[in-house]
Amino acid sequence: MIDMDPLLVTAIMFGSMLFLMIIGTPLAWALLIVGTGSAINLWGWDSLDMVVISTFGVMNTFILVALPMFIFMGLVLQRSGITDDLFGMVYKVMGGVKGGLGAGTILICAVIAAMAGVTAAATVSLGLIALPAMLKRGYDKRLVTGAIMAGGALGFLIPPSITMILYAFLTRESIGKLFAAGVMPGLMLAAIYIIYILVVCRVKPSLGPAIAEEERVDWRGKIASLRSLILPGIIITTVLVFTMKGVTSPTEASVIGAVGAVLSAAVNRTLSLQVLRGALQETARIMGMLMWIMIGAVIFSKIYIGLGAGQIIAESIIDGDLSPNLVLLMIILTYFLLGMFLDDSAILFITVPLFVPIINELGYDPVWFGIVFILAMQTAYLTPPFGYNLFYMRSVAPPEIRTVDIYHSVTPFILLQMVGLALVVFFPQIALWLPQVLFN
Amino acid sequence: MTWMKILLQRQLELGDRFGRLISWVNLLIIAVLLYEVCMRYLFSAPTNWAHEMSTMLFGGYCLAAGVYTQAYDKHVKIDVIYHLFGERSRAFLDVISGLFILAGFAFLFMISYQYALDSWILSEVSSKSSWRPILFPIKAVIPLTVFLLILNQLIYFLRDVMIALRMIDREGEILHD
Amino acid sequence: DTFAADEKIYRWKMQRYTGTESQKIFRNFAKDVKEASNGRLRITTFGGGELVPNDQLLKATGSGVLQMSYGYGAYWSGSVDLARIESGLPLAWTTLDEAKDLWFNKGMNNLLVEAYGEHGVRYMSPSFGGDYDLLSKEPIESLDHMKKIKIRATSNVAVILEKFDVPTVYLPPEEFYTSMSTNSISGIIYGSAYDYEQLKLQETAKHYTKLSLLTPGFVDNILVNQEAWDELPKDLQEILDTSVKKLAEDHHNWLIDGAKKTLSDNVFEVHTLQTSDVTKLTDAAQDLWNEEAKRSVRNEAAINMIKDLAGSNGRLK
Ligand code: NA
Ligand code: NA
Repeated sequence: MIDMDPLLVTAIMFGSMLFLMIIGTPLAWALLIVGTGSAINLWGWDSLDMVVISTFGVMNTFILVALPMFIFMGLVLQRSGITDDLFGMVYKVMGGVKGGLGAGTILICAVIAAMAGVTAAATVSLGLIALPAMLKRGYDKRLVTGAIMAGGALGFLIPPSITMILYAFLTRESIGKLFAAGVMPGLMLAAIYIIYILVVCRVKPSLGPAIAEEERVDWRGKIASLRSLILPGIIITTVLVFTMKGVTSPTEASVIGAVGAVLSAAVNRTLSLQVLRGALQETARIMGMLMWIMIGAVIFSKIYIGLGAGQIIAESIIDGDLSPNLVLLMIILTYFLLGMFLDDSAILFITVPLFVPIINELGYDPVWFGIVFILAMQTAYLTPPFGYNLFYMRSVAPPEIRTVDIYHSVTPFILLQMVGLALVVFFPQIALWLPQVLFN
Repeated sequence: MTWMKILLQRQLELGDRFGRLISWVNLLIIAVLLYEVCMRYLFSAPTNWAHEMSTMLFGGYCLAAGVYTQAYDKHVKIDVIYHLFGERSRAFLDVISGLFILAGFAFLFMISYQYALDSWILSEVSSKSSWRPILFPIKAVIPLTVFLLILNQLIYFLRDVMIALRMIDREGEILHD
Repeated sequence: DTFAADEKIYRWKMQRYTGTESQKIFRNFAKDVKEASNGRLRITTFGGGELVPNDQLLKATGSGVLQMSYGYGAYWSGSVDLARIESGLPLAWTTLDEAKDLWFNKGMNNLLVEAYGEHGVRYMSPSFGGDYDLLSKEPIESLDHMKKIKIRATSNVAVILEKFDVPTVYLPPEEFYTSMSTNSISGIIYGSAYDYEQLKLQETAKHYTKLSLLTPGFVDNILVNQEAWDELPKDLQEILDTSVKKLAEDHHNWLIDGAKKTLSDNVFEVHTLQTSDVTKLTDAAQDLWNEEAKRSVRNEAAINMIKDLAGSNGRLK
């Protein structure tokens, strides 16, 4: 074992990650290589078992079963043409409005967020569904990818949410209160995104063109087009009702969604062996990629946590003898910086045991801080170089959307998230109102 | 056709066949969990094996799917800067990446082989539920998958070296200057 | 420099399976060790799941990823024959004194040292837990009533309850709150009233039924990687030994005090299982003991110790 300055360790680990990413090493292998290398150099050969223990740990996590289910669901709905009908409907109803399809996508993201506890669900399924639908109708690729990635990250904030469950478990806060506290900020952010999309498309209509005058339909046609809402509506309602009534756990509900998608395709008379096979194969290719990124990220993060470097960085904030507001600002800044390189569970494990007692001492509400944390993690999902939603999008986006486009597209949405975060910081009632109504 | 081109085609074919086969496991997971939900909700008779079984199927399926993804070269790269280089420089970078990747895989293979072997020797069973299944098969998926990843990566490595030496192009065809 | 060897600083990583609620106790333990050793042995402590999943703690300690761990045998009862008995078979012991008698006079401790030795770790000490009872959404006082609800339980208890047709499911602690609040399960057997209060489960269920299955309801263990132990100079080994004993004591007292407070605060409504059912469970438990004894010669020895203990305390006919 070598004693090394934690900042130096941080620089070496993050630096080598950047180097490998720049030379084009696939991300999953880059994480694996840096994690393994750091373990050998800093802890010696004995610690290498960490790598296989982490691998088995990811394989052995029941809640992740929801991932292939939601991806499969999205693919079946897309390949059987159901979602194209759905977006056609949104286009007919909102088509007169510039950017209307983009606004509709955010709404659908919010609904999927309420069904799933993981951000990958909305990002991947809408990347498969909404992205081609909007590109086909002349929307700007950067606006569209950004909106889907930001909308997908709502999966964190709108309950259920795996990250909230972990936060609650670590801090012994009430999951119920956290879930309730996430609802209003989640809806607020969705509203902010919608307003942004409508405004930029009004200013620059080429980003999200309205339907041509002669293609518009009257209210009769609009109501008729609502038919395509029926099948997806039934799936979504079933999943939500089953989860809330305790028929299924949130993870099992994802299976109901998958079965629902297949049944819908059958009802729609577009189910074929080819559709089924294609969806299964693409699910496998996407999961093969996601799984190994998750494994790499866990290995990298655990080794970074084990080095104690993150802990020392966090402690230096606490020992800084700053005013409460400044401490809060430093904490949020730390989250932003760590969020560029680490995954959310790593940040959770590093900082929460240190920060939450401080937050309590300074007189802030721990449930409110939980929401601040979740908002910061939403941003982490979008910030380069390491942002899960960027990778999810890369894995499903067509080749004409370049990686540069994906990285560019998130910028306005990161800024909007910061606005949302600031609002929750200055007006804690946005988060705390609902839990107070429900639990007191 | 060059032998490299034949090799690359064979690799894609085999990877594809492998991937198509394991892609059906997804339906198996659906069946297992659907059965559990029905038994629990309709007959108040939850199984003691469905959650663990589905988790194991998930773990093995997704891990092995990594080989399928690799055969299609679909593992995500951050190619913002990588794409600014020319064909040959990129091959050089790929050779460097390849060395690191093969080293990483080699370590992972060694320790996961030992990990699975230990489980076999101990006849280790799971401690989660009263089902108590043998853990060796699921642990053995790790070294098996890594072995296939290594085979694939070796072929890519060879291809990249040959491109860097201007012997072939990316598809494995002989380069005519 | 002739003192160089003695001045060497040992930096250890230790992970527990519990969360932030017990952080203070483990930080104090690390502080004790550091002070007593003049800074020569420094232990960084990590919470549950921080470095490795909790069920991999033994593996991680045996292979040297961690030098030390605070774990619960039931997590690896599939690879250590004695672990299920160690972590607590129903009705194996009914008071703290009985448990201590079993460990230190009847010879359980020696058997565990031997069993864990085979996995490259040194069994330092047991850490006796608190109560182990049922939390449920409706008041429950009989096995017949338990048959009608879905209960979360780990394999030891599940095996016994299944004998009485009580349906059980396994869920990790992270999922308790959501599963209980959505009614997807309506009972949990996991720990004491204090454990349930820590998880804020009083927001989902109000009824606490004393099962009288086992007291202390669970026994944790403190393990050290054997090679790391052998590397330590004699005096540091002694310091560690003393501090570990104190850690186990502190941890036990913290659990007991917490449970007392939760019950006296009337966070839950307390019920007891009817006596005839306790008798039925006792009989079923003995079947389970006999099944455990069949797993290995060592297990048979351990079960004989338990029978001996129960016999001498008049619990066994
Ligand atoms: Na959600
Ligand atoms: Na990021």
